[in-house]
Amino acid sequence: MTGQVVEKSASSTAAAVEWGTLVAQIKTGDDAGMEQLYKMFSRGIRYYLCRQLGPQELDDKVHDTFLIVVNAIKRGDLREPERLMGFVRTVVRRQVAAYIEEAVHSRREQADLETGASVADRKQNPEQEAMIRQKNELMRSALEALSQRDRDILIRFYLKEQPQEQICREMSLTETQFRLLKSRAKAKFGEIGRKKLTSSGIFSVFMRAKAG
Amino acid sequence: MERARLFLTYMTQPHLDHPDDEAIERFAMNRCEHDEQEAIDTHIIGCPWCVDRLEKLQDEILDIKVGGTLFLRSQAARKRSWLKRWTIPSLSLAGLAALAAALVLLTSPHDVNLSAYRGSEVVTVPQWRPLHLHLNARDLDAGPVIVQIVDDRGMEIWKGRSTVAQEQVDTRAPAVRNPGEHFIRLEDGDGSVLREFAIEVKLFP
Repeated sequence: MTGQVVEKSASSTAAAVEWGTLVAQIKTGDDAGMEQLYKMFSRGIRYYLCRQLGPQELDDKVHDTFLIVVNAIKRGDLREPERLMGFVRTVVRRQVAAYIEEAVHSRREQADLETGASVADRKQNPEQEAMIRQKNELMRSALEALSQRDRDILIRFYLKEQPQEQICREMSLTETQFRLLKSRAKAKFGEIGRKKLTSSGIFSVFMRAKAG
Repeated sequence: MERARLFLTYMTQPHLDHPDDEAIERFAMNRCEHDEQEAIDTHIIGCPWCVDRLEKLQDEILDIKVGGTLFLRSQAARKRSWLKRWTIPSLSLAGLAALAAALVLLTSPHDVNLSAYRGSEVVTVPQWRPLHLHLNARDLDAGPVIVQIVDDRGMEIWKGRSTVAQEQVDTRAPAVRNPGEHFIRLEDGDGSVLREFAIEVKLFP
């Protein structure tokens, strides 16, 4: 096997899961089981739904999807408890398809009626907009602080999305050199960016916003 | 299936089977092959730790993209600002300056020292520039002389008066407009040629 790709999680939820026990708890409506199921899957379901459908009404969709999973388990739709993750993923995918179909249907039905419908302004307030602009400028200056080679690698790979082979060819790098340089450049960029954010006072504001 | 073999697809032990940083990055940038995509998709559904890694990575990538976009824009703006110096108003000013310099150059006389007899040496002089002639007059009697410039057919271009002094004739002549071989003649009051010099007139000598 090339490279070390199996690693242990550092989080407290890393303990081995007894799938059979968990599924049995769900079937009996045990609160502990429901809680563990929610703790394990709510983040992933939220991420998946947001990635596929966007942030609109996300909490409701996560909740609905979770209920569908629980009810499916209670019905006995899951035959092999150790396949729980794949099962949840299948349920979530079907939910995504259902939401998309519903959105297409309602758009088709309502297109002619909704003239002059109001649309929520998704912009932040002026203060937040100013902070975002300032943060973006700090990111620009953090990139400028890198060496030209480091900057080129990051811009080519992440912004221009050039394939690794092209970058290696045009910058005369081996694959190993590229991976090493990219990793270091990203780390340097992150460090410079954090320092700039901290010294500007924006960092703590952004951290509060994320936690809230 | 090669990459998916790197971690178990059935996810029986999610606390062991986390995709490595490069696989997470490929997933975040939609660069996974199909099997790897499916495997990571399934894994993150039930792994809050990997969702955290993914979200953190996506924030980092977004920062790089935003910083990179603004950086490239600022570079392009600097280039445009440099190029603006070469716009038409600036070029007009530059053109005027060049024209002024050319006028100064063209109106200032070009020094021509001629000391050889005809046939032995040809001096090149610039076209379109007034000439300040210093003609060797050794062995000639001091006194007034006539200075004449003729073209290669003997047609007179210009005639003026000067004096032989200290074996030299100094005089100013207007610019020669046509290129080619010309002759400068020193004549006495009777029109007899006392000495003749050859010059080659060129635009860029």
